[in-house]
Amino acid sequence: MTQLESYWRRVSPFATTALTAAALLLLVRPARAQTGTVEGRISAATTGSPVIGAQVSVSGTNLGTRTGDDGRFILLNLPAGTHQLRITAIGYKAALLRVTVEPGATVTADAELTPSVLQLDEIVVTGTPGQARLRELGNTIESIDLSAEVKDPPASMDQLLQARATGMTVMQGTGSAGAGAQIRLRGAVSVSQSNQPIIYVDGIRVRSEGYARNAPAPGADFTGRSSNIQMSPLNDLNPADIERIEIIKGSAASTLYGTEAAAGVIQIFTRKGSRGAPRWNVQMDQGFARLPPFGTDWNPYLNFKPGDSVVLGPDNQLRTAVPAQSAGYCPELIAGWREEFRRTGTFPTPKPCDWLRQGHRQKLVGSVTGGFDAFRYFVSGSWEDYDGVLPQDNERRVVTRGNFSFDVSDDLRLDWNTAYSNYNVRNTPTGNNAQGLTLNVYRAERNYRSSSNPVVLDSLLNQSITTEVDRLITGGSVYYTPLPQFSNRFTVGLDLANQENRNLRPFGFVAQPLGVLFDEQNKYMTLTADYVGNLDFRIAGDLASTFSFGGQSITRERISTFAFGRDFPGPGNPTVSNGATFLAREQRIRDVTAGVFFQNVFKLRDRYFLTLGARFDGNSAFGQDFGIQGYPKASVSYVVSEEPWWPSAWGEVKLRAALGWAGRAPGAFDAVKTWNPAVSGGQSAFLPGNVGNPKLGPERTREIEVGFDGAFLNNRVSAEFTWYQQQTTDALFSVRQIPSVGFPASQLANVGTMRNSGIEAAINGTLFERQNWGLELGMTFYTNHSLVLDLGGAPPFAAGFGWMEEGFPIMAAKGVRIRNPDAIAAPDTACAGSCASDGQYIFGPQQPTFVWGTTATLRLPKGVTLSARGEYQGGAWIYDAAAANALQRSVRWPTCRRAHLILEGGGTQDQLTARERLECIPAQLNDDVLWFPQDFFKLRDVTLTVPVGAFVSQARGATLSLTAQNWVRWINSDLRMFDPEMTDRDSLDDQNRQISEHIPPAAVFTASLRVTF
Amino acid sequence: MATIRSFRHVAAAAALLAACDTTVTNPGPVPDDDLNNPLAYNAIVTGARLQLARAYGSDAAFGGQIAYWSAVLAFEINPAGSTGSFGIPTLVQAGTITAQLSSGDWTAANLARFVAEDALRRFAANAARDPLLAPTPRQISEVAVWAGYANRLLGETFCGAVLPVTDPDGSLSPGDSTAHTDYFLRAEQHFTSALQTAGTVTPDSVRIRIVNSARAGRASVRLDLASWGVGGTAMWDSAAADAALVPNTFVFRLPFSDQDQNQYNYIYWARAATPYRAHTQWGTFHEGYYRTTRDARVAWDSTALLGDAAVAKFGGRVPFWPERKHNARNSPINLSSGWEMRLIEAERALVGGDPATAVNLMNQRRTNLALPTYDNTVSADSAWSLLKFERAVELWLEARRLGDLRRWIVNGVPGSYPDGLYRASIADTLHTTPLENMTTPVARSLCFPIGQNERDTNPNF
Repeated sequence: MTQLESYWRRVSPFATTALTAAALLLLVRPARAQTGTVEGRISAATTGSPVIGAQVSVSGTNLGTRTGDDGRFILLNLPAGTHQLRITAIGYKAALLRVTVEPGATVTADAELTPSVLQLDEIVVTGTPGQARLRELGNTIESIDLSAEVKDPPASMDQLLQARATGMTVMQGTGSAGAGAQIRLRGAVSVSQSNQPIIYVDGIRVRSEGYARNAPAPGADFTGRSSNIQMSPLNDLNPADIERIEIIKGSAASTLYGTEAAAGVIQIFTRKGSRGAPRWNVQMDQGFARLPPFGTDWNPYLNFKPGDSVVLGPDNQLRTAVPAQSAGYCPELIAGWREEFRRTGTFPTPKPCDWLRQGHRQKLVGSVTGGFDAFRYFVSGSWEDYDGVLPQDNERRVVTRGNFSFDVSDDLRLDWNTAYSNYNVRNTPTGNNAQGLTLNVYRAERNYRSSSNPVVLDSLLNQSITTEVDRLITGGSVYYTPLPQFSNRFTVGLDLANQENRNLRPFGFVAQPLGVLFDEQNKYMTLTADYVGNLDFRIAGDLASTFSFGGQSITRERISTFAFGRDFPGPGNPTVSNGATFLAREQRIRDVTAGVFFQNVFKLRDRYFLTLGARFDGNSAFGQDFGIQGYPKASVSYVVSEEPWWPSAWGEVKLRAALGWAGRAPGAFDAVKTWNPAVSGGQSAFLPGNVGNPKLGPERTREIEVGFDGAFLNNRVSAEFTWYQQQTTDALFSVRQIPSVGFPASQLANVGTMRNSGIEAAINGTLFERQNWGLELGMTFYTNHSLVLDLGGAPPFAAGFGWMEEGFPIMAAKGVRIRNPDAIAAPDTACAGSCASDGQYIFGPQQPTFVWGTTATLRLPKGVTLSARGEYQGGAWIYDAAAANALQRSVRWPTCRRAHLILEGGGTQDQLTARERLECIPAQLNDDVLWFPQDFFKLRDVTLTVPVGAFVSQARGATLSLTAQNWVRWINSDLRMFDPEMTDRDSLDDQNRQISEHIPPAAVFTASLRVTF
Repeated sequence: MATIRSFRHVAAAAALLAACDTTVTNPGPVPDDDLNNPLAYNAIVTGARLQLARAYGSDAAFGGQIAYWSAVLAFEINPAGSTGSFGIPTLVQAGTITAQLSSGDWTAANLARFVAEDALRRFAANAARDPLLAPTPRQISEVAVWAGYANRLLGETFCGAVLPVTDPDGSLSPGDSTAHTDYFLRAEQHFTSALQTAGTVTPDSVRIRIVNSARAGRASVRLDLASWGVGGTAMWDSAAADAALVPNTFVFRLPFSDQDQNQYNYIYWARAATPYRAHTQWGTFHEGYYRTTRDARVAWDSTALLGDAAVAKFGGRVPFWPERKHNARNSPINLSSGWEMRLIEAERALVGGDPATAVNLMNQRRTNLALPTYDNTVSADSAWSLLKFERAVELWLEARRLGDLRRWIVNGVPGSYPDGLYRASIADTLHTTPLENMTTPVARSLCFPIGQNERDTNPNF
């Protein structure tokens, strides 16, 4: 039985039920009454231009469609009678149209939409049981509309999300191929569980935690023998398939998602088909990735491009920025060049020790959308081939998608969405890997090969690190609206990913002469079953209510098998079993979360809204003495600008407040006292595993947020402000056990209390707007301040590269602060001010406390636009572990160049700065001083879009976009090297970040041609 | 009516979801109760052995570096590079180990003791509950032996002891900080218990191995106790009496495995050049001694390589001359041997003022190795020096040296010891007398402090 069959057997009860129900309902429906057609054109009231992608829905039914590029729509087979059409579009106020359909006739229904930056009637679904208008929500929700976005072709979902939403930080990991980004919503709410938000795609829960790093399993070999990157499942999606993204950032909004949702929710909606003739889109991208300098001024690429340190002086003599006597950086190479220059008078080419390249990138995307009568479709495919900047880095990905909608009847609709992706990544060995390229190049002649000779270091590339992920996300929703006031949605979905990590150092590899092969197979499965019912009724007069209820079950499973072999008999391409020694491991983890919820929204005069709700969850990881967990919520919304007394000149304003709880479950085994089977010399053994805690439950995060949304100055400026405070109680801390009493190390317990608070503000405005010219500016502002309130009696402890102590930020940066770093004097490291209980200095948090984003779009004549997005992050601290590791080994680190020259020239430490004395004299090294501010600004993208439809025959339209991503950057100079967007090994799931022996993320330049037929 | 019908469907669906059973049993880790099955007992016993190996030194999550780092402190090896992974922390290189640094070793060693003693408690409780659940004498005696050696490791390594208190309900509570000799007393009890139980073990070959291992272990901890003044002359006598019953040829080894990195011999793995070359014999007294005598007990290999990183103390990278005693991933570490027993008898003789007998006992081993024998007419002080030397080479890299040096130095035992640094820097020649020893120019750590993690978590501290 195949894997797919196996999973199908599990999901089939749900799917079969849904499909059977749909089929039966189809059969039992009465014969369709006589019908007619409604068609029309939706345009902007201000300019008359067509509104593309407007949603036209028939109230009280599941019928609806979207407008095309010309703003036109058509609704076929509408039952005869009078209907109300509801028309919504991003950027416009909703409109209602009343139409009367005659049998066999076509009715024209045109509408003009009034622009609205506040969009109180935009429909959202995330955080609500069914659909809700923005005006009803007491919490803030970020909605990113990509339905009409053709100017900005992001290469990955990570890049798509960067600087898109207030309160969301998307931090890139490394510059290696496949490295995923870490996403945080309003900082970190947990110190022991993942802070990655949970992700839904078309209502189906999908994996959000990173894929397993391609590295030997513990016990097989040192786990650092790897590229040390973590791939993100989010990047299996094709950005071009995305229509809309909704983001809710904390418990106040995510209560109904229950036990897993404390870190927020990202819900992604892919494109749907619309009725009409097939419409084809083709997108072709060509570009390259390039690494900006990340070293010191005189060694800008940390030995990766030593040629940059070599210049020809005015006297036509070869000069190097590296004095010969310091000889720390590719000395053999420089000596060789000098010799060759003397002999030939020209620079040698190519530079043999240049390990960085301009990585060529290309992508091809195609899609077709259309539909007829009761069936609509969107089918797409993409292929991409990206070379990284490192010599072995490459990503190849194929993504296909088919989204289908069936209007089974007026009150029954079935959506079925399926995506398959195949992702192949080849990596260069990087990170904290003693057999890797980056570590050994950085450390030059004091590396593990004892040489900076490129020939020697090139031998490290004789290894193969490849990762392949096959992923299937499939699922469907049945929408059943038996009565206009009663709607139901039932969703089932399966997210299935198979990952193979293969890591080969072949026979003859310089550091493992007999060879090593590690192969890991991972299967990840997430199964969603979800039901929601909504019942609208009028209580009295202007007071209406929507009662929602439902249940959800999420089953997640990971099956991992590891095989490891070493000591091969000879050259060749081995399998694991070719090794003289081989071993295998297996791991299976399954967890289930199931819960029910209800919610009621009270609506008074369509401007006062009160929402009350709760979710009740069980989880397989809870301790046996722990029961069902309840999460309540309440929110209010008040559209004050719709009060009769509100002067229209004041614009539109909505006030809102929300309070809610959500949780994070412990790991599958955390509650149980266990022993781990092991083998010793061929004999079975038991070793202590987990201490166990029968009272273990989820940590609970309560969030309160208050704010307003407003549109002012005749809708030219919109503003949004939110104050939030999250308090995590029963926080899961790894409480250290008493070693002399027995079981090892630590046990999770619900003991702590932590708090996050801050504000979010956004302002967007149209600076000027003419027929051919326009300038729109936007700015966002976000703060986050965390605090440990209570450790539950536990002593302060280290967590996530950080320090947990009451009164300080969550997972704080703790080390030694040099109070006189630049003084030529003895170091003054006495702690003053922010001191931890152990006497060390608390620098601050490791998550940004201040994020500022800005966007600008300049419209030029002939449809040309120039847009830019920038982001500043500040207030956080990062540890430079790459420097620490090197300095501990007396490596001649570039930041110590001045000190080395002084000391090697016969000087003494009295001539060194305080910092140099602690960093550059091995016997005095104190690596606790290597904390640095990680403030930075990056221009996330600059895009020039030019319509070129006139040059493409038979095309409805075409655009050419030129994009530069992350090329312009400013980094706090106190961080003397590298980039704050670097990380250690498990970039997505790590609680915090630290600089490891990686390269920073590269800048990407792309030319994209997009044509619609 | 339609509404009611729909509600019924919806309620049914909601009930279905609400009734979802979230109970999941994942394979892999084994619940504690499952270990009460007698078929699991052999694995419990093996677990006690494996955990002890991890405490001596492995790459496991809860593994320790006692054999490795104590060897550095006692000059049995010199640092040759790495300070992080597989390496030697700078402080330890300089001769000091702090409570923070020893936390991992403290955990690992306590875990070794806990696993073995927990097995004994489990066996006793199960046997009392149901005779069908009783373990075999072999299982009891073997796990008691591991409990004894785990306690010996704690006593010979750590500066103090913390032993848990057994509550009336059988659970454990944290104990107070006491003298490290309490571990020796506890070890002696376990070895005695093993000897009592082993009498009925079959076959004979197994019984003899268990008896010898328990008796040799008890001899060694009685020597420790006697050295620290516990039990007076009678303790010396009982140590020698136990030792005398163990034949020369007996060796009791702690196995390691080359199948799993968690079970590799860590002293070897830290210098296996993959790519770590973290320690060397360059500059130790064994460098010159082996060069001169070729005494196989302290063999090392000469390579053209350098250590894997510069060593600040030596001013650069030093020659990589790795020890040869642990030359494979699965090299075992000796826990006891008949030749160690002869040295225990010799030490008893020295304490009794009989250097000639002591030297004769030492010469048995040297004769066995075809090495020149010592003159048995030497003075008592000289005989003590010879004993210290012989224990240095006989028990080399077995996590015993630091305990020996501690008991001799602290208790003012006569005679000199060879341990020290014999080269000052990469440019220095080999000296004939040490440039540094355990007390000069700085006092090096003679024991591992109780881990900071115990100090932070035990309310009795």
